[in-house]
Amino acid sequence: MAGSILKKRKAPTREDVPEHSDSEDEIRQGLSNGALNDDDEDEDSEADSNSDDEIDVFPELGSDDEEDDDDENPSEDEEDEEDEEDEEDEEEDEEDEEDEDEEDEVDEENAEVDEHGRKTILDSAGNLRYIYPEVDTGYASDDSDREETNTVGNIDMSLYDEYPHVGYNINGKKIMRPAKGKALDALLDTIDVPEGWTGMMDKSTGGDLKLSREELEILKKIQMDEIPTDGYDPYAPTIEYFTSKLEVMPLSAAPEPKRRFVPSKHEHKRVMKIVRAIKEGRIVPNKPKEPEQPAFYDIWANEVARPDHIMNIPAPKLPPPTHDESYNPPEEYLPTDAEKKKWEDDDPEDREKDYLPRKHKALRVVPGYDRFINERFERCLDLYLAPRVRRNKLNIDPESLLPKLPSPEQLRPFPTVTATVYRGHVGRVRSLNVDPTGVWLATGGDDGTVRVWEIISGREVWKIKLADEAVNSVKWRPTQDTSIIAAAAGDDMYLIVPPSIFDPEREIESRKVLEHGYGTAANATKDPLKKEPPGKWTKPEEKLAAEGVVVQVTVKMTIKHLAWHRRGDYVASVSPEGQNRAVAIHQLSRHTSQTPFRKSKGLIQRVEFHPSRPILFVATQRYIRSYDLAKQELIKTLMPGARWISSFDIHNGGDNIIVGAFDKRLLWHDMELSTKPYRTLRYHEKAIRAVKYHTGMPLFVSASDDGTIQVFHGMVYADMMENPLIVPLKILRGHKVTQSLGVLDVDWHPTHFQQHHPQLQTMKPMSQFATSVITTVVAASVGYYIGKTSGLRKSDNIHDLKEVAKVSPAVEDNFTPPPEGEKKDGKGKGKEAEEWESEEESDEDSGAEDGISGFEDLKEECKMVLVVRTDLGMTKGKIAAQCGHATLMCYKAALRHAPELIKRWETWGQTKVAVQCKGGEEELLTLQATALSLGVTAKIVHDAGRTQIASGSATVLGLGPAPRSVVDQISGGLKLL
Amino acid sequence: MMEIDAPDAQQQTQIQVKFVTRDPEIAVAAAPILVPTNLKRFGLSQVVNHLLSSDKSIPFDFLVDGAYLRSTLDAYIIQNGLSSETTLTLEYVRAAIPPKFLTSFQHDDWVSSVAASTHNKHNNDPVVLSGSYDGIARVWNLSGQVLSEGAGHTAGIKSVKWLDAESFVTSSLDRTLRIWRYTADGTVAASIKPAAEYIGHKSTVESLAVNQQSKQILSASADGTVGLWSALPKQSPAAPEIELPIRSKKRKMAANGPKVPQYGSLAMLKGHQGPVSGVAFAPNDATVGYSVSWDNMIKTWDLTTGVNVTTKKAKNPILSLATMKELNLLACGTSARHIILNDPRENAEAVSTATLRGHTNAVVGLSANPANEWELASAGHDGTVRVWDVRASESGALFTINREGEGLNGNEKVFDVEWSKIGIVSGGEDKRVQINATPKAGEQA
Repeated sequence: MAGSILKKRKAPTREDVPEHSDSEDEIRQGLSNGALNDDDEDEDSEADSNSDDEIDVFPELGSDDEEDDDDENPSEDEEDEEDEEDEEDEEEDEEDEEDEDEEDEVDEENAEVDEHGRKTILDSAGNLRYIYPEVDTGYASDDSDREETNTVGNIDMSLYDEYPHVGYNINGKKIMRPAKGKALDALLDTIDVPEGWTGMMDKSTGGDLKLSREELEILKKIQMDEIPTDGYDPYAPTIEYFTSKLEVMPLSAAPEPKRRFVPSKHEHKRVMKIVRAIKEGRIVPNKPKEPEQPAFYDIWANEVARPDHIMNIPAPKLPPPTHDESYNPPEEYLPTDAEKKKWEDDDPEDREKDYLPRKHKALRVVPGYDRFINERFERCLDLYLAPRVRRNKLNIDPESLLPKLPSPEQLRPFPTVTATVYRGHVGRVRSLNVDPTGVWLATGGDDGTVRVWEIISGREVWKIKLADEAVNSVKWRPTQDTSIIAAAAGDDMYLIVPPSIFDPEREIESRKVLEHGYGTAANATKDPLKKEPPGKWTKPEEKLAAEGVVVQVTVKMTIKHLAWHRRGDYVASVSPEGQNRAVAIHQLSRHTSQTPFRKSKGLIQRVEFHPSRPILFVATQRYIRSYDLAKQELIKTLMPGARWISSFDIHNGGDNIIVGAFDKRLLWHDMELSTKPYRTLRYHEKAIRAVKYHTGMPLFVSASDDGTIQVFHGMVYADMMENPLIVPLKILRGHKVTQSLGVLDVDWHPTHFQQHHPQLQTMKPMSQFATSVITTVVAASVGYYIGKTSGLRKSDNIHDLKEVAKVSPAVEDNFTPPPEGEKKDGKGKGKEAEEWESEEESDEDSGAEDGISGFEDLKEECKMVLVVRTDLGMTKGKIAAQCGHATLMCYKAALRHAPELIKRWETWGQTKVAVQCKGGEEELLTLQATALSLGVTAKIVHDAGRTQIASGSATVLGLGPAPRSVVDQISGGLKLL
Repeated sequence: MMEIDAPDAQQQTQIQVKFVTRDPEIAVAAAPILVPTNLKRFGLSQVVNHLLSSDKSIPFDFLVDGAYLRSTLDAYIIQNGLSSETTLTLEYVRAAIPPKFLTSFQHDDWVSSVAASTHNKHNNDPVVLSGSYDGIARVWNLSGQVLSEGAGHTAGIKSVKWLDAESFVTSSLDRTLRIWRYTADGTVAASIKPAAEYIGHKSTVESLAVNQQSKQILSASADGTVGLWSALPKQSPAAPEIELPIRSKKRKMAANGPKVPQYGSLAMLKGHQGPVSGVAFAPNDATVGYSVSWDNMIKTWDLTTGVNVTTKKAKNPILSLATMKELNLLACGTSARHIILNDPRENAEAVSTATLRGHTNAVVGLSANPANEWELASAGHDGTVRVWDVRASESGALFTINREGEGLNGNEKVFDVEWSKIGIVSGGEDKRVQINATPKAGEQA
């Protein structure tokens, strides 16, 4: 096989062409001439000089050009011959020419004709002169219709200005200048302008230069900047040779010729030729390029000492050290104190000198360079951080960078001073709450009492001792028509209507609300199938009942917090130790209790109802979750980032939450924004115990164990795009810190004392207080969620699953293949590659054209490279499709020849790398050849050309799969696509 | 040399001063006179006395630009950047004499309100009425003896007012008003008997106002209503029937005192959004009432029709109200620790014509000086009673009266003040009624 190829190569080029015309034709259709010529050239150049090993430089050779030359020449030759004849004639006639025409004619007429048929006359010098008759050439050679042309050629016609003739015709006769009329005739001529008149003289004939109609037309077109060629239509409709339309009934419904799909034999031959050249070493692929010479050069590189001369510019030198750089400079070089201070105060950048002259007694006392370590470190930092741009020092007033906050003065009113201290509790005040009308304050404390105070005067108007345990939470029912206090002491929640404080009607109404559910509760408990309800509703003992307690609800665990629903029919209790029963929701109208969560999510700290929607917020130690009570699902998990949430409050609008944490942080969450806090405020020195929004004004407070209450302006804008504005306003002090407990609770008055009256409640000395300012609580529309509580549980579990699901993708991520970028690292070209090359030589004998190697002894990672031609301008989709073709072709080929390689490739994650090639089809072929010479599968995809590009264009070259070191030899120099 | 000369020059500096006064008794010629600029109040007072050429020297105080002159004229000129060429207009008034602590009466519980009466049929000994949080109204003579006690309210008394010499009205946390007959026979013993009980408010009755001509009572309640009542049982409608909550027997017994006839209100004026904190009759017109509330509103009511005539909104919740008769102003004490003076006329645009600042906590009681139209006493939660001159609104309080007594820490709130002929009577958290005498200017001189 190889032999036959060789023979063909040696055959003359032109004979070669018809031999494989089939493939030739195919290529001619789609390829440029340049590309076609290459193989011929290549062969020629190889034949001429074997030393030519540059593959990508092909000398210009065009068989077409040669043909062109042959075509051109004949006409020129003929003209030349004619010219010569003319010259001879001229020489003969030269003498006569000087005579006048008339004399000539007379002489000729008078002369007699001799036997030769010639006339003999005497010329002016008296010599004989023969004048031969005109030769009649006969009809055969009649050229009488031939136009009389002037044969003087392209010379300066002004030479003939002095003569009556303007040149000679082909027979050597003078062409006389046409007689010119008188001036009047000329004028008349101009009046009667003949067609094509130009007013110019044709110098070769001496007559008027006339232009034909066609010539005038051409001139006109040229003037109009049009293409002069007749019949050119600049607006001809585009012929879509490669139309994107798929004809339903095409002109030719013939199926694609088979040759479109059959690998081109011709191309294959060309490729194999290059393969052989590479194997023989005539072509070295990936020859390293010679390093480029820099654009500049060092004029002092080879500097030799030269005598001083004005034209000789020596290399600049570092200035020698001066006096002040000396270790022992003269006194006058030492800086004064002022200079020293200025130098030290200046920024290093502004200093004139980067050193300060210092005096040392002797060289041996000169200390080491103190900045040595620093400079080394900075240098390393420079290298590491690689700053290549000089950093401009910011010349900005730091103040101007601070956000512009309105001054607290503009944000009045807000609480500023202590208005009232409520004295009476013994021990700590745990909780306080202002009633919805704003007249009364309820407090609960360690003394087990609940007390009601007149807010304005600080007068205690009523109290009840509920239990020996501390009252942990006191909350008024947030409705205007009733006055009910929910108080939590120990395991019990008491619903109280304080007697005689309120209008009798109101009191009766309040009692009615509470007593309404007594019958229903009894029914509910009778159901034996049901589990024990979380809350047991009972009538309080006589003593308490007499004092105003209407209902007592007992849960199993100590209740720490209570939260009313906005409508007042539900109250939620939190018993952090209650595990899955930590949250219980109690319904007043039915005297029933439910636990909405089957599973405990952690130590639940607080719950609150959304102020307007059926949403329940549950705070564990670290997270706040919001549950949609209507859909019974988790809506959102807020991650305040606090280690232990102590309290939270929901803004009236429902989209913002403040969270207080035991780790001193106050966090503002904008729920529309993120699950992370919008702002973190760390102003307290100790744990925050309580936070509270004002219901009517843009204010919120935080109360802390450091004994302070901090008041903030927190404006929430109706415009969703605008972030809340938070301005610290005031730190209220006054509470004593005892046993490292400070302010335990805080509340806003709903309307009154908007300006400056946080009502600080205090008790007796040596106790803590809770402080209050104002508020009503929150709520969600309750109607929905009743009876759907079990659903809520379900959703809770769903949430678990979701969380698990969230984790698993991350696990999968670990299995993603290593990034493709690694491929180009060029490793593995060393020994392994050499070994492999030697093997390849032995492989040559097998004679397989596609000598695809199995690379059995190269155990490294296999990859496939897709070389995409970018000079065709294919779209992404096209490229993707072509790459797919290439992959498939390579895969199929490799499956046949190197299944082992395929297996390895698949194990390694089927690495594919797409690189780009700008050099057109030749480069693609060269690469293919290189690949084949290395025994790597290489397949070129030819596009059918239906859409974007010419039919049959080579688009993508697939290489491999093959060991990466081998592939890198072929495509290592190509850029990633 | 210059430094030495300067004081001399200053001593000689004089300024043209015009003395004016609103009191025709002590008026002097209005022509400007030259006075040395180093004069202070006392010097100027001497000048005016000299001009008056009266035998008795009257101490004067001098008002300039709405503030008392407390420094030399020179310092005033420099402080205000005035030219010494200008003519200063000095308004002189009789100097107020600091109130003197007279006596205080110890109570068992916080004193929420006080009222003094000098109309005594049998003798002219003035008596002081006090209402306490223990629910008992007491009448004291100035010797500190309780002449009589009136118990009947089931909760603390919030406000007391004399109707006339023989009857007074009280309001309470128990949402009721009571009219009591006070009979004194000239001896130490006197008796108080409940005459009528008025029912209608749904929350604490915070404050009362009486009009002795029309025998009408205005009440301010925390339920946001203003009640109009007649002190004459004949004119009062019957009390509304109220269903009482079931209570234990013991409680019932306690609640039942002697039977008192019950009446209802003439009108309940609704309009306030928050608890009403103060009410007053217009001094010259028994058909006009004013009310102030925690919702910042000052409302004027036409009492004959029960229509809200005007509403003005202050910047802060208002906690107390007093009328200044001659000036036709309303003094309103606010929770923002100041007193605003309000012109109640409908066409007055400014809510506050002047602001008196000085209290350090809410101002909950106000009373005008019956003897001096310009003066005003206020009771504050800061534990002080302050005396103001509304002409000198910039000067701050004229005097500050602190609570007198043992075992006080100075923070006891003062709940009520009344300025009567016997002096400034105030009561507060210190469980005392304190009386400070305010001798009329010139009396002591």
